[in-house]
Parts: sequence; structure tokens; C-alpha cells
Amino acid sequence: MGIFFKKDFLVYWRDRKEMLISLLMPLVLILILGFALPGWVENSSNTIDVKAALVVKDDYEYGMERFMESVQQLPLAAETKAELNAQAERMNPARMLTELLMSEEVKDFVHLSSLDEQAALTELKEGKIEAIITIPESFTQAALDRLLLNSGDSASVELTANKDSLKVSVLNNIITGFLNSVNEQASISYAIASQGGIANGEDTAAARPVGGMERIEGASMITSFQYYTLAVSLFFALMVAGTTASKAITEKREQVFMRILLAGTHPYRYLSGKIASTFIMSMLQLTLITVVSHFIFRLFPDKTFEFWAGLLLFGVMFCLTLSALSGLFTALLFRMNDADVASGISFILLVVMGVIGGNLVPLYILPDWLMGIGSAIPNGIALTSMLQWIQGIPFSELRQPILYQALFFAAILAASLWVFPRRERKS
Amino acid sequence: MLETVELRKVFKGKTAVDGVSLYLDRGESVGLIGPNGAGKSTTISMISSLLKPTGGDVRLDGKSVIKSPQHIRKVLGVVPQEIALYEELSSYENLKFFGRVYGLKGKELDNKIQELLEMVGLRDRQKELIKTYSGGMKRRINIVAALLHDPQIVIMDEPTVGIDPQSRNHILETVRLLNREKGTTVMYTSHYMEEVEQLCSRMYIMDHGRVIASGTKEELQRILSGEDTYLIHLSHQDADLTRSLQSIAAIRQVEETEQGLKLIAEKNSRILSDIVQAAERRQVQIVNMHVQSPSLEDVFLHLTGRTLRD
Repeated sequence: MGIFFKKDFLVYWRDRKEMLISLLMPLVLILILGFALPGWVENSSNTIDVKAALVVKDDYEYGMERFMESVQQLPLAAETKAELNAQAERMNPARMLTELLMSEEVKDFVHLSSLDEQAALTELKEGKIEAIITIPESFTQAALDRLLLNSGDSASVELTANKDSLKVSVLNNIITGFLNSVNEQASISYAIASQGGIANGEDTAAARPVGGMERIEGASMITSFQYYTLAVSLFFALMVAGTTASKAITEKREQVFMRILLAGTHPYRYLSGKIASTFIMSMLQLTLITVVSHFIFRLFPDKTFEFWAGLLLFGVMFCLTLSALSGLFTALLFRMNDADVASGISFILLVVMGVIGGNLVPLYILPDWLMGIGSAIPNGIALTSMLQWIQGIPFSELRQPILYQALFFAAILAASLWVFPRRERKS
Repeated sequence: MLETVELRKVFKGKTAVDGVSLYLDRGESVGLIGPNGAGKSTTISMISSLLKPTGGDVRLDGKSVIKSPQHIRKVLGVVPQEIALYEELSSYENLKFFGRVYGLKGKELDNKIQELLEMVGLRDRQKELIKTYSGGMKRRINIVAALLHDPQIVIMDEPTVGIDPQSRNHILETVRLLNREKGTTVMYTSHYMEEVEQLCSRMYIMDHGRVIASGTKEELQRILSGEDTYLIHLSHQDADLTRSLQSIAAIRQVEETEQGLKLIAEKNSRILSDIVQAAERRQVQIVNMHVQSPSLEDVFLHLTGRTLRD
């Protein structure tokens, strides 16, 4: 396989035009798209329009009473108990969440209407709204217990949706951000209190701005240069699969493949050379473009080794999948009689994959059904995982996309071996 | 050593090769000639095990190789019509790659490459990329790539198409050297009859998928032994003259040439005066006339009704 890889690498490397296109073109595109279309990425929320219903089951008065009863039973000084009750009265977690959802920033893309549970479910069923946010009955008590007494379970809010979409994900992020803030604040308050004092209400979640644009993952946390660097470099890596296949068809047309077969080489050896060389060349290309872009556009300053290792892992998984894809394209081209038509079809297919996979336009501007397909194809999976990794999503939550890529690799590889002419001669 | 028995190939109902039987003895040089579409390349592909025959057999030393192509691939070198090389690699890199594919390596491979490059006169230019070579130089490397594993049999499919005279001479010299000095068995196809005449001791003429004649040069020329060829240099071409010559009973074939006409007529037929009179009637001046025995090209024309380069 080594000799096949070396040959393919040299052929690719010496094709100056191809090399320039695959290395310089992405950088030019990143530069143009990064400057020209930052709004598509950095202000993506403007184009998101979420319709949701708010169902409030929580009874603030009842929750307050129950909280005060809990405080009363604690072995604390009367003065402390009074201070806790005063703080609780200044807070209203359910109102805070409602205010957040009704705030000017969020109102731009979340249209919230207050409904009872039954009406909300009917509207969701009819598709008039995309999600229901339910503040449960004991929300006030749970939030205050957690926030001021550090007891009980974390306060939770229910989010109901028919399908998992980017819009629902945005809504989920807003709510999760709010709840994390409440629950984190509880820990801080408790720590301060346990060191001899009660946390000042001004410093708690009630006074802090929670939620808001800066909490919406997938929107302002990604810069346009980060997005386009990954999107464009993944797309050009994807094109390596097409290039490999088109070079393979030249080998067939010019009888080089025949010469290789005449030497007694098994066709799979040739195919495995193609797959290996595509993997290494796409990996080199992806790495080179990302690293060069990083230094030119200062993409990921102060990122840890762990971050880079994670990014590399997603790249490796993607390149494995596309190397198998190059094998499949090669196999299909060898099966088809008209090489030019076959090359054209594979090129169009790659461009379509690039578009719906979010490599040429951000995923969220596509219709939901197309976005669903885009996020299920290898380049879409790779791009989404990398973006989530940049946003700080824990690795444990990104294992599934890695598994998907591995499954894609195995399935496409099996298909390419099946399609590639196994017999050592034509019949 | 190598023979085909009633070899047939049918593509989607169309018969490309129809019962071709031929043989090559060890150390022999055999020509396979025929016009375009005669079935030569298909026959070669089947002999070299790249194409599975619809019927018939290919035998190497008496054993069928249809089911076990590896046997023939070890001893066979095929020079395809196309330049089957990587344009972006140098000739040395190309040869090293194909040598490695054949299982050669190290010093042995390197020595072989140098020896063959020396043979075709391109040793000094081995580091240059194939795409910078002339057509003739590419064809020389194309041959070398088929010789790396020291094949006992070499099949050459029109190895001199579209090249300069110097490269052509190099190639013909290489084939001669391989066959006469190294004892390699050669099957040679070409559009140039004189090449086949020079290089091959026997030849097969194919047309419409069949072998229509075979034998040594002399045996084939005997097909037209009852005929003479007249080469007539005329002051100018005249269609009526051609027609009137065709009406003379002893003249079997009239073909227009660059300078006049070529006639094939019955041997010793006294037609000179008829030709002169016909030319005078049409006011066409005969500048020169030459009578000769038929060439292989004439035999080919006689058998196929076409010239070799049609």
C-alpha cells in the first residue's frame, strides 16, 4: 500500500493547479466570507424566529410560604431567618425567567405567549408553536431552597417540543443558562454563608443579569472566521475525495490501472492505496488550512492542548469517512462507462453535500428538513461537532457524532469494496 | 509457447473477435495487422488476461490460462497503445513504481531500470517528468515499463503511433534487440506494414474480428502471385481515366495515389498500350510508370479492400 500512497501523493503534489486550488482557495474563501458575511454567523439569532408558549403552574405565594416554613425550622438565629425571608421576598425566580424570555434581546427571536397547559399542547400539536416552556408547580420553592438554603433538588423548567431543532436548541440554551446561573449562584451563596455570613441579595442571581445573548450557544460564541475556517476547510477536504476518484478514472482511461493489474496486483490493493492516500492528504490539507487560518485570523487564542487534540480527533474521524467516500466514488467511476459523466455527478454530489452540510452556508439558514439531512451527513456531523467543541460542549456529549462517523466509515468502506470490480479482469 | 484456440468475444450482441486461432513459438516475432476495428486490441486484451473471452481458449505451454490468469501475467509484458504512465512523475519514479508493483525492489530494481533506460537511450533524462517528454520519448518509457520483470513474451499494441522518426528507430531497434538478442517472444501490431515486415517472421492479418490470412511474408505475397502492380505517375488526376481503366478486363483494382494511380492487374497481361491509349484519350500525360511484384500492403488491400491506415 505504501508504494500506492507514495505514487498518489506525488501525483497530487505535482499537480500545481490542483494544489493551489486546494490550499490557497480555502484561505481566500475564508477571508472573503469571514469579512463579507459575519452577520450570517455572528448574529444568527436575527434569522431565528421561535414561537413558544409559556405555561406557568407555579404559585409564588404558596412557594414563599413553604420556603418560610422551611426557614423557620432551621436552627438559625432569628436575625438570620429574617434576612433569608427578606431576600426570598426580593426574589421571584419564575418572574425572573419570564422577564428574561420577554426581554428585548430575546424577544427579537423568541415570540412567547402565555397559555394554559391544554391550549399550549393543542397549539404545539397543530404546529402553531415550536415549544412549550412549563414552569412547574413547585418551582419557586425549589429555586429558593436551592438558592438560599442549598437544599433540595435543583430548580427545573420543562421544555416540550415535537422535534429537536436548532430553534428548540436555542430556547433550551436560554433556559439552561438561566437555571445554571440560579443553581451556580446557590453554591456561591451557600459557600459565603457557611464562611460566616449570608450572601447579599445584590450579588445573587436576582440582581445579576442572567441569560441574554451571551448565553446563547451557537450564536455569538462562534466568530465568522472560526465558522468559515472549519466549514470551508472541511468542504475542501471533502473535495479531495472527488479529486482522488477523478485521478483514478484517468488511470483507468490511460491504461495505467491495466498495467497495475497485469503485474498481478489485487484490485483491492489499488483501492486501499486510494483510500489511504485520500485520508492522509485530506488530513494534511485540513490541518494546514486550520493552522494557517489560526495564525492569520487569530482563531483560537489561549486554547488548551486538550482543545486542539479534540479538534484533531474530529478531523481524523471526518477524514476517515471521506477516505472511504473516495473509495466509493472510485468504485462507482470504475463501474460507469462514461467517466466524464461520472466525474461530473460526483462533483455535483460533493457540492450538494457541502451546501446541506453547512460548509458553504450556515446550517441554520436552511429549511428544517434540509438542516436535518445536513446534520446527518458526514461533513455536517463533523462541522456541528467541531462548532460544539469550540463552544465548550463536554467531550462526553460529543461521543455520539464520533460513533456516527465511525459507522459511516465502516458502511461506506464496505459499500466501496462491494462496488469495486473484484474480478481481476472485465467480463 | 502461446496459442489461442477459436477465441471469441461478443460485446452486447456484437461480435468483436470471431474464432481467432493463432500461435507464437518461443523466441518468435509475430505481427498482428488489420485496419481499425479489426479486433486486434480485443484479441490482445484476451491473450493478456484482461478481458474474459466469450468462447475459446488461451493456452500457455499447452495449459489453459483463462481460469488462472496469474500464470500468464508473470511471463507477459504488455505495451498498450495508450501512454500508460503517470505524467506528473519522472520516468525513474514511474519505473520504480511499476517495478515495485511487480515485486522488484532495491538494487535489483534500480539496476534493471538503469539497464532498460540505457537500452532506449533515456538514461540521462530519467529525472525529468514524463509530461515534459516528447511523444516518442513517452512511448519508449511505455515500453520499458512492460519489460521491468523480464517477461518471456512481449505484446506491443501499436507502439510507434504518432512519433518522430528518431524515436521510431529507437523503438524498432529495441524490439529487434529483445527478440533477436534476448530471445523474447514478441507479438507486434502496427499500422505500418514496413515495421511488421522488418520485425516479424510471421504475421496474421485480421479483419472484422477474424484472421483472414497468415504466414511468412513470402507466403502472404504468394496470395497475389498472379498479379502485377503498376505505379503510374500522371501529369494530373482525372476521374474519367480512372473509370476507363477500371473497365479494362485484366485490371483488377485501381487506386488513386498522391501522384497518379496504382493498378493491380493480372500477371503478364499486356495492358501497357491500353493504359497509354486511355491516358491519351483523356489528355493526361504519363510522366513515369513502374511495374512491380505486389507488396504486403497490396496483399492487405486485396484481402480487406482497405489500406492498413484506413
